Amino acid sequence: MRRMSVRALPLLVLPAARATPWTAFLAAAGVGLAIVAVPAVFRVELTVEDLVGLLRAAAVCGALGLAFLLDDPAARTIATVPTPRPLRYAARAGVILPAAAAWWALVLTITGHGALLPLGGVTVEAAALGAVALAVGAVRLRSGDNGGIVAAPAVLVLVVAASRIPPHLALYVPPGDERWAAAHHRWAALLAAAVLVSVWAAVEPVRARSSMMTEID
Amino acid sequence: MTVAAATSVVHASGLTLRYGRTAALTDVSFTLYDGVTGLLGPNGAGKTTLLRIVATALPPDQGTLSVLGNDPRTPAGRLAVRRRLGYLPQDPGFHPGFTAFEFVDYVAILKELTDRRARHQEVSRVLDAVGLSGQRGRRIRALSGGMRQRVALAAALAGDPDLLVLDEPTVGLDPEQRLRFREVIAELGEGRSVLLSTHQTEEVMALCQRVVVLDGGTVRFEGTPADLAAHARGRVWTSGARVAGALASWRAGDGRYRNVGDPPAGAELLEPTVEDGYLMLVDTPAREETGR
Ligand SMILES: Nc1ncnc2c1ncn2[C@@H]1O[C@H](COP(=O)(O)OP(=O)(O)OP(=O)(O)O)[C@@H](O)[C@H]1O
Ligand SMILES: [Mg+2]
Repeated sequence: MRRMSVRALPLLVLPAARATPWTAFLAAAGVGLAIVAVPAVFRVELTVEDLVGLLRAAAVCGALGLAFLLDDPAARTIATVPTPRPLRYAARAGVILPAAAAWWALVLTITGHGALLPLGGVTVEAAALGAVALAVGAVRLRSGDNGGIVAAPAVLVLVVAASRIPPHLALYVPPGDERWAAAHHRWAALLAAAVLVSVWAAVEPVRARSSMMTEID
Repeated sequence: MTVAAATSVVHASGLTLRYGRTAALTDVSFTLYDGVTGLLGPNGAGKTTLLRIVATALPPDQGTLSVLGNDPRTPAGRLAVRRRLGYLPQDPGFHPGFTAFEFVDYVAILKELTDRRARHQEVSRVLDAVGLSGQRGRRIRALSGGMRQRVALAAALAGDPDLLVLDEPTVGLDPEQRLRFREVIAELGEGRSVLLSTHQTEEVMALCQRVVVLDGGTVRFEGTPADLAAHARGRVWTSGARVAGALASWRAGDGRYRNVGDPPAGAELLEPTVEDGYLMLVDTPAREETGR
């Protein structure tokens, strides 16, 4: 029985690729590329700290683009098909996550100075932001049609909040800072939490929350 | 009144659903049999909410539900229902860049029709059934509203489901397509089950073996169209002038007034229609309340 659904997955990739709202992603990815490309093209001399700042700005753009990934104007029409929602989301993720990874690789390549930069740490930051965008979008889609219009502002709020956290819990720390490793443990935890929330949100509840509460009572 | 030897396809008991503070359904119970059942009710009565619950798009807060012999409150039961269900939402959405064929094909894949050749045959069949064969290669963004509605209907029909749940399926259809729809649904209703909501009482007359009337989130009537019409027996009369105290009074094609409500003594009574019965049912308590 379950095999039937999984077998639909490869068949879904092509329609999923066409149904994906690419415009938002391409626009955001384009801005992200421009942020790192302009100094590279004009050969502006930048410090490591400046370069990390540019990569962080590009990562925010990428996350804003991912915020709209799960939006689906046909969601109501396909609300009761037997193919489970996590599988439908997986088909989309299977299309856009490789695209996002390729985009990030391009951003890093254009930025250059690979040997000087803490690429691993910055990549974890970018992945965490992207995952938060997806998670908020998926949670929103449990009760509404448009995930992106909530998820995109949520990413911005997170970024602003992250830059104001007290120093001993900071997320955004300058490269070379002694708190770098600890901060990136926190980014990794955020990434893991966002992935878990996404998976939870993708699964459709069979019972209403209120009835679950009455049953627990 | 009872449909002899009919098998129950949906059985709902005590369904209750709230959206925050709004009680959309309160203690709704009904049974659905083979054939076509119409769901009537004013705007905001809870029709869409009830159809979404039956179609497993929305779990109820309370109550029990059996659909095609399965309990949608378990993952396995819900999956079993979805494998045999076609659902047309009230306001269907699309991927505007897909052609009509591609979109229905996409839904058919989601309905687990994995064999390409059989699926394409099925997609052609349902597009033909809704009269869209000639438009199958056109992008949905270039289709008219009524054509889009038919694309969504075709998507619901794909896979030949045992139970069809249709929320205002004929909205936006021209008269020819409406008739065509009736043909398709009447054919489907033989041996299978269709539950459709509508604001058109003549559609209920033309199509439905049974009617459920929902008002204010509760079931006000469950029975045959004839029984619903009978609610207004002795309450419909004709007169030469407009009657001020009637529930409804309008000038018919023959120039005389048709009135629904409490007739005066000696009034010339008419045979009631489903619409008259519906009007009596839904309008009466509201009037009594305002009179109090
Ligand atoms: N998502 C929602 N959030 C809050 N209230 C809602 C929501 N959906 C419906 N309602 C309310 O629930 C009640 C029933 O709505 P429903 O859409 O089921 O009615 P309906 O009978 O389908 O009406 P219509 O004939 O206009 O389609 C209404 O009072 C409506 O305002
Ligand atoms: Mg409705």
